[in-house]
Amino acid sequence: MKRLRLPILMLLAAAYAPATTMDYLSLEELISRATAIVRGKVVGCEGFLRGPGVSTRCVVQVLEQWKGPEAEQWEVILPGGVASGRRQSVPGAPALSEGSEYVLFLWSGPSGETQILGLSQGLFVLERDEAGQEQAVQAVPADAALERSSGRLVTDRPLRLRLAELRSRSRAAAPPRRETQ
Amino acid sequence: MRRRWLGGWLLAGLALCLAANAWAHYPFLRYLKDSPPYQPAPAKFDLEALPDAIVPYYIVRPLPTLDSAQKPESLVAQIRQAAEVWNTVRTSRLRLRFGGIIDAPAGAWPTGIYIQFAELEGVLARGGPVTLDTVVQRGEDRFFPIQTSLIELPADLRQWSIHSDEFFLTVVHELGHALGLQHTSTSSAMTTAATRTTTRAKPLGADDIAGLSLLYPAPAYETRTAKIRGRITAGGAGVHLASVMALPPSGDAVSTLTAPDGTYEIAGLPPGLYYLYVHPLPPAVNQVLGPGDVVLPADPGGKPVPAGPPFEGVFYPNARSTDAATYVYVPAGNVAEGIDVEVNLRPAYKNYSVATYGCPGTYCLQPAYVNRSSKRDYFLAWGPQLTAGSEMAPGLSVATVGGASVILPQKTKVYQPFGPDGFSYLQLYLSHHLLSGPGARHLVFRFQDDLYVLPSGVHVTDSQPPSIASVEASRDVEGRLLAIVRGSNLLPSTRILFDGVPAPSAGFDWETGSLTVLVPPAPSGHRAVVVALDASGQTSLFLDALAPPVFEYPEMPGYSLRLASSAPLIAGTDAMVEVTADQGATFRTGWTELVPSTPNVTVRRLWVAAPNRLLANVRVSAQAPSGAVSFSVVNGLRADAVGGSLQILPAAQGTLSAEPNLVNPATGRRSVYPGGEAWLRIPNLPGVASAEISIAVGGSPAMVLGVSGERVHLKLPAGVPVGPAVLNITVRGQPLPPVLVALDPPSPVVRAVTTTSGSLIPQQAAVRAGDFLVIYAAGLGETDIEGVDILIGGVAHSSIWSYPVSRDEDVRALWVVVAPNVPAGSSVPLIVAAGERLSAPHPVAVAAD
Repeated sequence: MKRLRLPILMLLAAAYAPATTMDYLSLEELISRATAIVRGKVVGCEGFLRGPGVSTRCVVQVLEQWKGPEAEQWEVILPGGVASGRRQSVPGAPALSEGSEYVLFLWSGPSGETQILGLSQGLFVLERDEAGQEQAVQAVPADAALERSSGRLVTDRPLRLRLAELRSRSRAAAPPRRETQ
Repeated sequence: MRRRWLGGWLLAGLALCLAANAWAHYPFLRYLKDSPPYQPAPAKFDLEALPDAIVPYYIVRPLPTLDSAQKPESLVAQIRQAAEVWNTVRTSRLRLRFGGIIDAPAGAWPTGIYIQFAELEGVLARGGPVTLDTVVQRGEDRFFPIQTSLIELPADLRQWSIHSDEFFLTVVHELGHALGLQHTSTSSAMTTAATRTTTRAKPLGADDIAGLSLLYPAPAYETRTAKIRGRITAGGAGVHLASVMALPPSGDAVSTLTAPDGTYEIAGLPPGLYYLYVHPLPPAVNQVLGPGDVVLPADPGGKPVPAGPPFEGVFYPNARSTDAATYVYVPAGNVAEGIDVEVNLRPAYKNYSVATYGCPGTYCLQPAYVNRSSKRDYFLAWGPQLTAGSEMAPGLSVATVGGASVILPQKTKVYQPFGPDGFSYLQLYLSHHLLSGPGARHLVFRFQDDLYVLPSGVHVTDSQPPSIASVEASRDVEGRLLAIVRGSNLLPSTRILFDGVPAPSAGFDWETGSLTVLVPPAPSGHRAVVVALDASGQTSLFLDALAPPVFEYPEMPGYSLRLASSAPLIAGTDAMVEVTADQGATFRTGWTELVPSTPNVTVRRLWVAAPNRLLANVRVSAQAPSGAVSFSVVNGLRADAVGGSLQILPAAQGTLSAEPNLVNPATGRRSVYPGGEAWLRIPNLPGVASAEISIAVGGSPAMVLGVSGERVHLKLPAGVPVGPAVLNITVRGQPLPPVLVALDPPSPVVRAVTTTSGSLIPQQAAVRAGDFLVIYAAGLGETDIEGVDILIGGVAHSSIWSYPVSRDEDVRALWVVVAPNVPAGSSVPLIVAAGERLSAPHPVAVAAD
């Protein structure tokens, strides 16, 4: 059989890839592309109408900040929610529960609005493993994702690692910096 | 292979009530009750509240940043063509219509779909429907009406090729969400990324079509399709949100998810044989979210109902391979009941995802297409559990569903293109049954401790993908711009797109294998990516993706557009609009759209009366503020403003407006013809006598036969040509805004119905379910035979074969097979329906089985 130039497989798959609505982000990409990484507790969430849709504004009280400008709180906008008798459902959108703690990879765009990076990819739920150690588990289904750049199917999802490791990797890649006044 | 049939199985009559989840695919769902039967209510557009069941979609400014090689008109064209994909579903009565590029409305956003460009990072698209919290009930139908749907694409599209199938299929997918469809696992348009196998040439699967059709059914839809019902349990307890997939031996899979008590109903199934495969969805980490990125259904209080635990995948009734599985047979209009499966729970979900790749040329790519007439009768599969080093995983077997094509285990090998430390692929060879046809094959991966099915994991074809070598400009005798497309594997049936816009065929040269097409309009100098699509689902991008051919437009004639009248539009009414252009315009159905500058005005229907003349009926919203409205015409890849504007005026007390859809009193359908009778509705018509109304159609007077409430019974003038005609109405001396009415050719006529041996029915013979009928019908004209339905006792049939009998009299013979759900009787009505044009009923005798 003639050998196939399979390295081209990965490039071509990106040029001719099945449609995807999410750009798969590895942990390294989450760390590098986030404008802030925090461990925080959700103080409250409220839906509001915006244009033809509904968004949810959640206030996160910062417990630890691992990257980005330091702040006591972050206002995070999530797609979808309930407001004024209207409900918008957004498949794959993250959900935050009041009173719960998470690790959030945040991204603030040119408008200054802050959202969770990569839909639910930038949201980590905190659990304890069998040894009682704190674990951070990525809030995505255990499903395959397509890495667009290579066409590779990524199946080791969700990411699951010790909180301490996540903390050290996040800080090592991008130590927190102060906003200049 | 041992198979057990359930032919003639527990066939129940068609149920009008939705027992459990009666969805193929899965909508955004809320339950109205806490206990069985739960009364599921989906989110969907209220088509009764939308004129002509049209859902408008808009692109909201600002437009995204594109790289210098990509133009906004190309972006708009790709989005429009993605919307047209959903309009091809004949069994759904919903239609999408482009409402234009608009600024965000100042006040309320009218009902429709809005495509916006937003700051997105790590996300290529997102969105979903916005529903009111109030349930609407229409007969047996309960739903939460979608008010608006929002689709967000990135504001910076420079890193994304808008010509790619990836972009196109992403928009198709998001429009599916906007219409009320959720994710599915059937490798169709609504499947999430990794395992979707649709292409631009075949962008929808049976599951998508069923999902849309069940939400917005066309008449007699359910008579064509079948259902499977049952319950999924574990230890006797129902499993919520288990995926139940109906897999035909050939054809696309259709699936649904179970209700909280484990019950399910897969509806919208093409009649036939199915394996049933039950599998869990990948669980969510966050319990308020659904598995597999499915939005959880909500209970009556609005709380999400959590999914059930993971379990081992299994075939009905309890098999780990199709060898031991049992087919379920369901004829049209029937329900196979009691297809229950007891599953084994497992402590954790196991991810067995597999991606498959075809290798048509130098490259390998998704989806996997295999040309069985070539030497490359293989495809590649990759998944984390498929290999162990340089060997196939122990205990793994791979098979297809059905016997049309089989995998040759003795030829299966591991392919490691990057050496032993890189990725390992399975190289799987196929052998094909002599009598099998091309099409999708479902793959079954059986592991030591589990089962994974990849629907449509490989597509078998008889040809290589089309490939374009050159696109050369030319002109026809009328001076229209043509293109001669040369390449490989081009056929008369090959479709050519310019930046996504269809280029109609103008001829095929069998000697050179080249296609001549009519080039869609575009601005001078525009560079359009040219793509070829074949009937098997392959596209020229399979081979040309890295360097697709580009057509550079020559100097194109400019033309100006103007409104033919300046009569104001009245809020809350319908009116006609006419646009004319200079010579040089090439309006064409499929290319051309009239777009108002405000969503408060919607185009109900557009006619291309001539290459330089457009006629349209528009509806002005009752909430439309006073002010000017302008129009533009999108034609292929160009958009031009129409000179002039119309004023919207508030409705005065007692303003009347005619409903432009005339109804045929004999059929109840919206098809009337010159010389025939029609019902005209004038909402809020005060009690008037016939003599107080005067009506003209196409300038000729129509006879008013009677008035009953809002309905006027009239006889249309005989001499008016078929096509759009202006309807002028005066009530008590006051003229109503003119509208356009569509005059069709006369209804088809059934001349005779016979058996295949020529015996007349009912005079000489009766038929039974499964028998062939030959229907001799006149007056079908140019109607595409695919658009002709034959209703027998209310059950819809499609013709399996058709041929002209007499060209002089325009008589065609239509062959149909009598469906099993046709009621028996000595005088069962048979009607030939060409769209809305229905023949008079012709009696046939149907014998009971």
